[in-house]
Amino acid sequence: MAGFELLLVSAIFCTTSAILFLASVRNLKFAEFAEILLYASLSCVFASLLLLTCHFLIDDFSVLSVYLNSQREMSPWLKISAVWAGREGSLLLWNFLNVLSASIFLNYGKKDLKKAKAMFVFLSYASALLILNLFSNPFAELQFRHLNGIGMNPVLRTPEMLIHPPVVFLGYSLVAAVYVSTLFGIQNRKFLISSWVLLTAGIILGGFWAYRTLGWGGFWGWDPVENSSLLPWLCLTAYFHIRKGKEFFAYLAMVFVVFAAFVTRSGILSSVHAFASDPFSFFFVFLMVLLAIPAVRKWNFEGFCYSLLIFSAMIIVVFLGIITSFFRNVDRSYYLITFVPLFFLAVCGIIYRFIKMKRKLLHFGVILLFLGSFSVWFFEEKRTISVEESGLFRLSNLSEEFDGEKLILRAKIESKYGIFEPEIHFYDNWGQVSKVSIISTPFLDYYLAIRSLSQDSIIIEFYLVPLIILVWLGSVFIIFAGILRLRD
Amino acid sequence: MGKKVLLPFAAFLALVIVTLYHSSSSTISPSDLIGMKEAYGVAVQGKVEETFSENGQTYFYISDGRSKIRAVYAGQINYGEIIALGDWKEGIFYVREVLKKCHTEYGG
Repeated sequence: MAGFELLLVSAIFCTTSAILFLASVRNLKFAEFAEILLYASLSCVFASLLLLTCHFLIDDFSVLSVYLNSQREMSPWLKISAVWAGREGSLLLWNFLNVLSASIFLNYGKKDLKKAKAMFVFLSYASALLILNLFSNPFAELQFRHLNGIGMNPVLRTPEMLIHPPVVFLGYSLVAAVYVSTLFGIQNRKFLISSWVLLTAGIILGGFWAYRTLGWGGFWGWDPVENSSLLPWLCLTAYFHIRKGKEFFAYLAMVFVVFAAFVTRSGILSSVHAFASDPFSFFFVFLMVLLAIPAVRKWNFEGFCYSLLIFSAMIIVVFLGIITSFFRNVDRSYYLITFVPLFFLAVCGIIYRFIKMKRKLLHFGVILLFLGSFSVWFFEEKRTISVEESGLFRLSNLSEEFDGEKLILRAKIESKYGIFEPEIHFYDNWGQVSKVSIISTPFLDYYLAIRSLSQDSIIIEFYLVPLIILVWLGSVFIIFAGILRLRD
Repeated sequence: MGKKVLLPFAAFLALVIVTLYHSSSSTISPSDLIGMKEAYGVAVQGKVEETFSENGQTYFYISDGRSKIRAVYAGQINYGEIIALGDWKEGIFYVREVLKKCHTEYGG
């Protein structure tokens, strides 16, 4: 149980550090001690995360989160990614990144009174989440040790699971640095750009992952959870595009980070997209209300401009869609009718001012992203085909292989587009998962997956995805341009 | 700026709300569906039970704990919670699409 104690000590250190930073506003001698406590808290939460990772790597199925998310047969990198596959482990990762970001924020720029106040707010927020982690304990033990775990859901057993959640959580943690620095008027450009780049990278990685997974609705499925990660990104993007009243969007970005956590963890979504509910998740609502206070105070109609209107409209559209999905199923047509025209208007604005623009590469990336997304959303073709009845496809080979974790059934399907090699993975306690095979060309992606397979019939899902390459190319330009801005 | 822009903005918001109303639908439970004679283009939410595959078709039940309905789908179905879109006729739910997302399982 050392992991829980480390987490507890980390929460105590973090809370004390927050109080001491506040005290240091009156008496500077407290600042040094507050800083030491912050590093102690960081060390403890990091040790706790490492310990949890060890539990996963050594297959300690007496720990509930290990039992629920890991399995002996999983490879070491899958076991590491399983650390944040569960609700408790992901909160621990987020907490570590929060305290790490707070430490980096403290050492960036001058350590003055403003910084001390900002650290108080930052660490109060970090402490609140650390305390929440004590109630959502990743080290909770089972009464007896199982021989094997249930394992991570097979659709999550991909390399993206190792990268996507940490990138998104780091982005979220840096948004907190942006929030507090805006609150106390501290220079925050690097944090702003870093958080924006990380959120962009996280969203795009998620899109790439979803695209390669059958049944996830393509690179952007307008899922409430996807959409909730889009909101902080839209807010930060709005921040870059307006002059007056931009602080409002820095605050709103932070509120939406907590909102995203609430949507993900509350189980409020009455859909298959919902997670197992967390009894403490309504704590996030309380946190959102607290964090929204500066945003409400900064709300000012005087600063309105056209960019602001476009971004505000986008945020409202997405937010209303998410809220409605709490009690109704929202069809993607809603977003195509409302969000896409706004995206189009934004791109028109970019094209209109492109010659005068400073950040041409980034905005060129946005144009490409729009063209790619538009073609995919409106011109993608989907067909369900029986291989035997269709003259287009021919099954030339079917092989099977056991890799220690799963049975892989590999089909070789010949067609005029090329040879597809889709797979079906069979898991002991998880059923089967279809893996897609994609043939990419500059203008079209041919995307094929086995929908069902029996002795005398193979039914496939076949997609023609136009210009998806522009989505990836545009995204790479945007991220690259964002990184270049960090060097300015 | 100001009033000239705020008016179309308000009109746009009204359009958003109308679109949202028309693009959203409530999911129904097997207990609700069982009371209907026919229903087309409905989204049913429930747990998958007793799956059986033959000739590329999967036959299964969708249950809400109180009632369960017979369903058929041309594709694989795994056990667990689903939202299935399809048509309800003659006591069988013909599933056209199964909504199943990564986030269903990811508790992070």
